[in-house]
Amino acid sequence: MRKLALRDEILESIDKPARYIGHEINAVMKDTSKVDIRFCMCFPDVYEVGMSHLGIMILYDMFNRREDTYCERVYSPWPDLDAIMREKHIPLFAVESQDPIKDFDFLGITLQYEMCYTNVLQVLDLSGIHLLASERGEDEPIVIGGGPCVYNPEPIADFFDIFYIGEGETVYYRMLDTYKSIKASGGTRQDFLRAASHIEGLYVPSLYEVEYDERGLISHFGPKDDAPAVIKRQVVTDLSDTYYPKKPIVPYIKAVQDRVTLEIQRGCIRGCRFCQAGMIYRPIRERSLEFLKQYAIDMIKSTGYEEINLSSLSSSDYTKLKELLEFLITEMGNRKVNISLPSLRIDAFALDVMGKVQDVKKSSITFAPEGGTQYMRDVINKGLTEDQILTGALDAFKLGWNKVKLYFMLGQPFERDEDVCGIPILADKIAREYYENIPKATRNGKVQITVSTSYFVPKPFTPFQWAPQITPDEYLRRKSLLRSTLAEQLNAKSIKYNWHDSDTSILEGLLARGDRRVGAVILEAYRQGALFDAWTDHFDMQKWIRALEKTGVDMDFYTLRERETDEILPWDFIDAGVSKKFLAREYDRARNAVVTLNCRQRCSACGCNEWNTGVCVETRNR
Amino acid sequence: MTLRIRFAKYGALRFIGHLDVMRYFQKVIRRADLPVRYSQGFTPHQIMTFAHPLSLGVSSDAEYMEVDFTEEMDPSEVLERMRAQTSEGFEIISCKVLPEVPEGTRAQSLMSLVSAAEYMISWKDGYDAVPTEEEVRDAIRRLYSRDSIVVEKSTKKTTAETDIKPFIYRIYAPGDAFLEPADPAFAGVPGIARVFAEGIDNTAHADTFENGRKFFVCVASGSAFNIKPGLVTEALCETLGTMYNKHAFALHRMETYKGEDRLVPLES
Ligand code: SF4
Ligand code: SF4
Repeated sequence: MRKLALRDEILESIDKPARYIGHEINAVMKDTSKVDIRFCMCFPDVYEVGMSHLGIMILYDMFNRREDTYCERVYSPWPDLDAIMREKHIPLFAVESQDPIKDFDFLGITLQYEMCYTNVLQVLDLSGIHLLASERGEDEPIVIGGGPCVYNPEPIADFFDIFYIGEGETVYYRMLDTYKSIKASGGTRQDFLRAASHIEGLYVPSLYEVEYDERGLISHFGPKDDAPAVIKRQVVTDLSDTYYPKKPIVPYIKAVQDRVTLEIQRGCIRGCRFCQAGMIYRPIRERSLEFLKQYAIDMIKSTGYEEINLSSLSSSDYTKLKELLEFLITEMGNRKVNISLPSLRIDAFALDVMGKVQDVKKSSITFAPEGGTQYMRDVINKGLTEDQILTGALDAFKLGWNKVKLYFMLGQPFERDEDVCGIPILADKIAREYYENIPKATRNGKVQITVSTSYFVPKPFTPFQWAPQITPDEYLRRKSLLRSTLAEQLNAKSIKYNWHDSDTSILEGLLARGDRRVGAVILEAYRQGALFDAWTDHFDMQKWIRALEKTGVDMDFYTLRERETDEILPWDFIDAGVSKKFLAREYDRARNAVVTLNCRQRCSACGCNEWNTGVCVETRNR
Repeated sequence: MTLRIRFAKYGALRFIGHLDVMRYFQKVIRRADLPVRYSQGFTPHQIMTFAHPLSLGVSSDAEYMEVDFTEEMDPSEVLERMRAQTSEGFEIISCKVLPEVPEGTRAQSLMSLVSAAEYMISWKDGYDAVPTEEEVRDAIRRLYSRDSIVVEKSTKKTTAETDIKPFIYRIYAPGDAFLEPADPAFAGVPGIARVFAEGIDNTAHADTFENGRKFFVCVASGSAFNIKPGLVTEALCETLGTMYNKHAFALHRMETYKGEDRLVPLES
């Protein structure tokens, strides 16, 4: 029988012990004595969240296709086990072999959101790996970071040996080959890191230096010696001819995504100005219909899942969506597999499909206008008009829906009070569509409109990367303004308002646009006990405030300050595809509320056409 | 057609909860591509029922589930196809076709059939001093010769004193030939009067320990009366004069029974 790292006594006393035992269906088991490289892939959050992440599955499958490599997984131990491991000095282990992480060659950590940074430190700490990369010895794993947060890796640069910038499918094999040959020839950790820095897309932060001027701004950033000055984002050019797991792992306990995930495309054509994903995954690249049909069936067969989910940004833009959904509805229907639809732009087609796969009475329709007035939607380049929203909602009401969800952000650049008030006014107009057009006899009760607002956090590599974040007080003021305006609306009783917490967002602002000096705050917050910051119940702002005080870091400098467009930004050394010139131009257009057409309407020369793929090489109709 | 399937649960998968076991087997059946019956509606699910939930950490050779098929299947083929899709930690032991229920009537649910379960309880290595075989045998006799065995039985809300003796149907140490209840200590004890259909030795998937000390107990289980085997272990420890530590014992379910006066394995 397999050995377990945790004794029965511990497994019996913690919540959901299945998080730690591994051996799930389709998990890869290899003889550890027969591989050269041991790679542990980490999602620094609880198992159920981490197991839902497609990126890890893709890389897990890709690494394990190599005979010389064994890729395993680790997640953040939940606080109950965390305490036991610290008390009993149990080293953190990989779920497959149950071996200590410290014995691995690599620890790869995916960074999907900034609020996981203290969990990164937890994983290193429990593994017995030095938190600071500079203190790590020859026998400690090489710690690599990847994922969307690495588009500004500087706040966590001290904790990582390498960052992989971009899509993992491209240069990981080269990195592993390099590692193997350096190890075989008796090279050191430093030898490997130097060699790695010359692989395109890999950033070795210890080989770079930063200087600041008297105002605290970056005055110089560059390689110490021969490392490249610019790190180029890695992009997969053909998504129908690349790694994708036919046999994803099926957890024993219910993951957040308890279904097969089919990534239909990568990137987005729309260019909403607040949206980092829309910029850093450019250009949009579709997977072929044939590829998707085949994988859908293979994955359903190999996992036994009862649900399949399409994943992408702005799925309605997938050009073969109709064909794909028609295929899935028939094919999955025969297999009694449910289809979980991505959020679609509400139109006749979307409503038709939704009506086929979900219960109209129970489900809701969703709009994400993100801004309350047309002016605001022009500022953020969200190509959704009031007319489209009202028509879409009315069409849905006629077909029996009566639940509407609306998503907005407060605090985006150039937002005025009237834009905030525009939010409840828009919600009320939707309610009026219902009450004025749907005869009482055919109504399915009251219309239920839910308005949610989040607190805008400016992100690197977006046109708003220079913009100030509003203060938490200002956010709360706008929230109250929204609430009081809502109370004045005719249909206020049919509208529910939820708002996002202000502390997490301002902290996210610090972590998103910080520089290397912010690392000290993260380390101190962790020492103060901050952990699972992405979990509202666990998040404790006081710990972060103490950390800021202790390290003397001025949060406002990073969050509230508007940057000059010629300032050296901490992430300037990354070539993400979208040029700084394009982003500055977009910021300017936002200021003037000028809309930019999407990639399929007209190319805006953002800089991503250098890859010669996806929408950049499509022939446009107009 | 309904199949009653018996399976073992052991090793690391002792730590998978009851609902997750259900979800697990639904996926096994899907991967095995078996023609099972689904419920109606937007989110159809398989019609599958289980006998008696197993506590986390307990291994078993006697788990049962029932699955409805839409067409006649050869049970041995179902067995093979399911076996090909289960992982270490679960093993399909047998597959049996249930007799058709007469038109218009409903079969009794698997869960409500359960009346008793038998466990092997082993002392784990690495905890406090393990009693000798003689001490265990002696303690069992002393415990069971008492008129009543009163323990604190706690539910989520309340704690109450309960006499569990009537719900202990048999209790014995290895070597005590309980199946021939010759021991005068047990004469006239109500539990012993229950008739067991046949001898059982379903411990194939239990963990083994170097010290080798263990005992066996059959207790009332199911919706009418339910006694946790841990309660009996606790009472036995008290008789032995040792402190009870629940982590120091490994529990293994050997059989799940149906019937009242005559207990027969669910399988038969
Ligand atoms: S549609 Fe806009 S918000 Fe959505 S992914 Fe694309 S750019 Fe981002
Ligand atoms: S180069 Fe043009 S088409 Fe390509 S992603 Fe940029 S804006 Fe879109």
